[in-house]
Amino acid sequence: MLNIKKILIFSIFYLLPIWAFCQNFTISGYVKEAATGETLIGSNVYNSEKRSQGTATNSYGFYSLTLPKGKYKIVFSYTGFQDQSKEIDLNSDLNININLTEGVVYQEVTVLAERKDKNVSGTQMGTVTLPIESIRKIPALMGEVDVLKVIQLLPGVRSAGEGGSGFYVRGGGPDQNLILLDEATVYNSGHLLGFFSVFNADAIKNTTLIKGGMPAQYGGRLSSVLDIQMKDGSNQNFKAAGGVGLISSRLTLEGPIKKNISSFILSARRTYALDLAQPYIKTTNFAGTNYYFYDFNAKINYKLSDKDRLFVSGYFGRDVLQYNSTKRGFNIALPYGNATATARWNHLFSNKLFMNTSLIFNNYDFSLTAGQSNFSLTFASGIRDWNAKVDFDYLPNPKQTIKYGVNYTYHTFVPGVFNAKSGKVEFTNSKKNKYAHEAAFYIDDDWKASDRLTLNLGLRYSIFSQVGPYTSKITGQDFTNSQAVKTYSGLEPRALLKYTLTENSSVKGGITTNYQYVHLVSNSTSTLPGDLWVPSTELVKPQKAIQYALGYYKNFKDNVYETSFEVYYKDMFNQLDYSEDYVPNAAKDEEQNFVSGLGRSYGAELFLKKAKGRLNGWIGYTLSKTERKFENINNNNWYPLTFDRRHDLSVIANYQLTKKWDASAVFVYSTGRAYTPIKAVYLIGTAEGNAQPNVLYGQRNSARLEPYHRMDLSATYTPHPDSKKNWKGSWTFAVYNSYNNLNTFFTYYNFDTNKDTNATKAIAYKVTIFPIIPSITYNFKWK
Amino acid sequence: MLNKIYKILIVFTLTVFVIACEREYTPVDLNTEPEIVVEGHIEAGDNAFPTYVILTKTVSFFENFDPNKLDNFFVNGAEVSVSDGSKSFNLQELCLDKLNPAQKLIAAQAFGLNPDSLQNIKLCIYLDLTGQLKGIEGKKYDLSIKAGSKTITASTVIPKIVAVDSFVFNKTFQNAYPDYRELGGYLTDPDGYNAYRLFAKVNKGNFVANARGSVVDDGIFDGKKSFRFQYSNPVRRVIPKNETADEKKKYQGTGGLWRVGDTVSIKWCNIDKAHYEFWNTLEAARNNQGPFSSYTKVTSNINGGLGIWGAYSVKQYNMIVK
Repeated sequence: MLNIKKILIFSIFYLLPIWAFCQNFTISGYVKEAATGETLIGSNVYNSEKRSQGTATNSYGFYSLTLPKGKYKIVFSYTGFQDQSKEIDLNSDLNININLTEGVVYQEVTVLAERKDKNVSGTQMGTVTLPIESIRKIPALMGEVDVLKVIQLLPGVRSAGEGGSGFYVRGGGPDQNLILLDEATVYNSGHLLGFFSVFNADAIKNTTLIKGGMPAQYGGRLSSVLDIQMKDGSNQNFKAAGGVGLISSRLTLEGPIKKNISSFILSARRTYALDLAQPYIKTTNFAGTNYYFYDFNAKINYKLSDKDRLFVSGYFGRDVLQYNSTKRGFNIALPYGNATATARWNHLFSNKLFMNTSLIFNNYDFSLTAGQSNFSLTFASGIRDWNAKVDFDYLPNPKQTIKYGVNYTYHTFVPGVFNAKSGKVEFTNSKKNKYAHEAAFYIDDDWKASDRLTLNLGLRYSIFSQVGPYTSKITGQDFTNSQAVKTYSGLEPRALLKYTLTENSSVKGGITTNYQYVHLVSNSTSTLPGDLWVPSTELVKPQKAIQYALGYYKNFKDNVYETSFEVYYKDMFNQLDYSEDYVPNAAKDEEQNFVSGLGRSYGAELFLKKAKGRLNGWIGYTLSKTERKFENINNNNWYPLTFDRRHDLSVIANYQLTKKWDASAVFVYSTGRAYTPIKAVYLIGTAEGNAQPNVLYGQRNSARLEPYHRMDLSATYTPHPDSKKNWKGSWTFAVYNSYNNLNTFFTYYNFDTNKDTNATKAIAYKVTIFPIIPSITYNFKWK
Repeated sequence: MLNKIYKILIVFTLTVFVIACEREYTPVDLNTEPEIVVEGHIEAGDNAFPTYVILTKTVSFFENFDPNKLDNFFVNGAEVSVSDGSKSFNLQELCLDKLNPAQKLIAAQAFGLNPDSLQNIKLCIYLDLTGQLKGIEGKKYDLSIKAGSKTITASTVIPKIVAVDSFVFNKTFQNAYPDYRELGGYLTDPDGYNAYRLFAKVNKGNFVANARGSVVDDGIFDGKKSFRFQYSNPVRRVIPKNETADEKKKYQGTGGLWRVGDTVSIKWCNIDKAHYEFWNTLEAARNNQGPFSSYTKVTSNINGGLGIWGAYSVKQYNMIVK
């Protein structure tokens, strides 16, 4: 173990400088939005004569481009913004900061602001970046703009349930997605049983989804990375924005603390449906009953010097349910939610070496208190992380981008700790917190080996150690504070290869290995607030996946049309599920209820995108198969995962009718969800004079619901698009499921007894929760 | 508990989402071979029932059935025997509709059933007619069945009885229901695994177990002394059909409470772990439907079939609600 550490550290600090001894000079700096000073992530910086001599800004807007001595015209571009170019005579290192202004021609609307030919020229596979402006254009359920629901419209990504914000990427479970908000892990991304995500669109700048070929700086999850960055706040002038919708209202304030040096942003959102009903609820036996959720985002950044920047950001959100029954003296309080805090320091060691150091805290907690006369009960679960990481971007020459770093996390897992008091006697399930260390070292080299061939080679070494206090579930041995209970580690090699066929087409292939040491197992079809995150222990082995992917990328008409075709095969090991006879039991440690098995998923994904023009949008089609195999489920035979979909189609279109009117439509179609059918009915309780029918289930997920399809429409009306006034408003009208297709959300059965004949018959029902739903939202901006 | 919370949450969700709609559909018909379902019990203690086994078979999801006319459910002509380790007893098949009224009365009394409730029931049951097979605490009993070409076996143990310290009726919160009481009890649970199943009988009714939670094990109260617990009335009160709306209101919110003046019997049973697992999974399976759950497979201790061969050690408490 120690040896591998040594080798890694040795290679990081000794080998890197070897690449940097030719007669070259470096241009570096930041690319920002002129109006606000927000850094632009993924802006394109290149030599106008030779596009292959180029780079892109990192997630802090920093770029570094090293070229041989000479004269160049350097172009800075970001889709949706006007290009800028600089003529330079490169005979010394240069620092150039660029402010880009938004495109003035309104036809230049973009759906996905990536580097114009990034899908062909970059080595990344299965990666999509969505700026928040493009997410806003897509019709939203109840008018609530939701990043996670837009992600589900991309090929290879499935929704966990209608209207839900949970998602499945290439056959991996919802716990296999690494969801990051300013680098802090968000363990539960849903409000209100997952129908809304915790990400307030007003506070978000950028969203990147990586579903295949995860670069080595990311790890700890098998399927995908969803990297969400919060806005920095304008360092130019004070602004406000907000909206009033059916579900919630929002308000965001941002502005400079010291112009050009520091800025802040504060953003808040809260629901109020049941607040409005309070006067009525007060008159019933349920006075005091309420439900609401809210989010609060805050961020400040400070430019300490030309080489140092400081960012501090945080998120706090809660769902709160209060239930009172005044007549029975019964009450429940159930608050749950996430809190994250991130402090980051960017430092430029040189114009070729960029460093970011982050200290991160995140916490998800769920608690329940209930009481009735002299009985009271509390229940708590959650997960809390302290995380420190250091990441380096080293750009020695235009052929190489090297990233390396270390990451350490201390996890605290709060299992469902249950305490009750009845009179003077106290009960507890004696569950104790679990603790673990997790660390990783990585190096990733993006290397243009020749004009046609680019390699991206990454290596990640991860280690996870569960520590005491803990009592072994196998031997009964007691472990003391910090004593290692079980340690797992593994090498995660990643390799991607790109071969350029023509100026606008390429093929790419890749192999990615991932380990996952923390798990969430759910026996429901959506992510629920009480679902438990558990560590790898003696009983629970780390999950592992190996993904193979191959893709062909071609752009047409000066990158107006982008196409990609990717195929993938993914093998998954140590997948977890509940045993089939699982009954929730507060006294039993969750890990004793798990069974582990294998998973596999394979498929083909076609993506066609029109990024520019008055009409823009995309079409995504996925053909795939996802299966699981568990010893104690379905007699150890492969069976389809609930979210296995043979066919899946999404069509998204946006059309700018006039300057005042903008219209959008979404159509989705997918194969029906798999479910476990009922095989037979039998009676129990006959001799007790209480014969009750019970059902016997057939093979797991061996039946299918009907295909799912719906179309959503929306139109945004901006009364005064060219207004010079400080206040600008717009109205968004949306219709979810416009042709009212009754898609099945879940099925259930009931035994109905005919009152006259006393005969009982089992009846199966399908439930639709989202018929046609219109909504209206008013949004405003003030500056 | 969490399931209940989710149900409350979904009600809130639906309030927000205006409407949900549901419609009937015809699920796939898997058309499988029927399986044999065993329901057999052996008891020791107060008013112990005779040892019996009922054999039924599974039917298609689409079948209509009348709980009082279960002819097509019963498996007739099987060879059923129970062994206590040293001696084997054969159980004889009896069908209620073939008994004369006097025999029916005896049968009803043996099971503590109201004789009127047996009027129209066509129940077939395998019984120890010799009366020699008496359950004894701590003993293991093996069941063996031959039905057609099928062989079925199972074992169960009669655990030691753990009696209640005492029962007490209390007024409800702020005496909101002056005609009703809550039933509390005090129990001292011995160290080691113990599981319980409770039945209640009100006036002349039959013993009833709560169909959605009749069992509990000592996972959270193992070894606790004299702790208080609450027992909700599992007997559903039938509201007379011709009650006026005002009179019906009297019943609102009284589910689970005990009416003052009623005569109540509590049948307090200890069961072994396999017996507990059966009812625990069966009752969870009945509840486990909807968007936030998958199905639950019932854990059976029957080899070669479904159902339960379960032993009870019984203590009976008779009280008048005050």
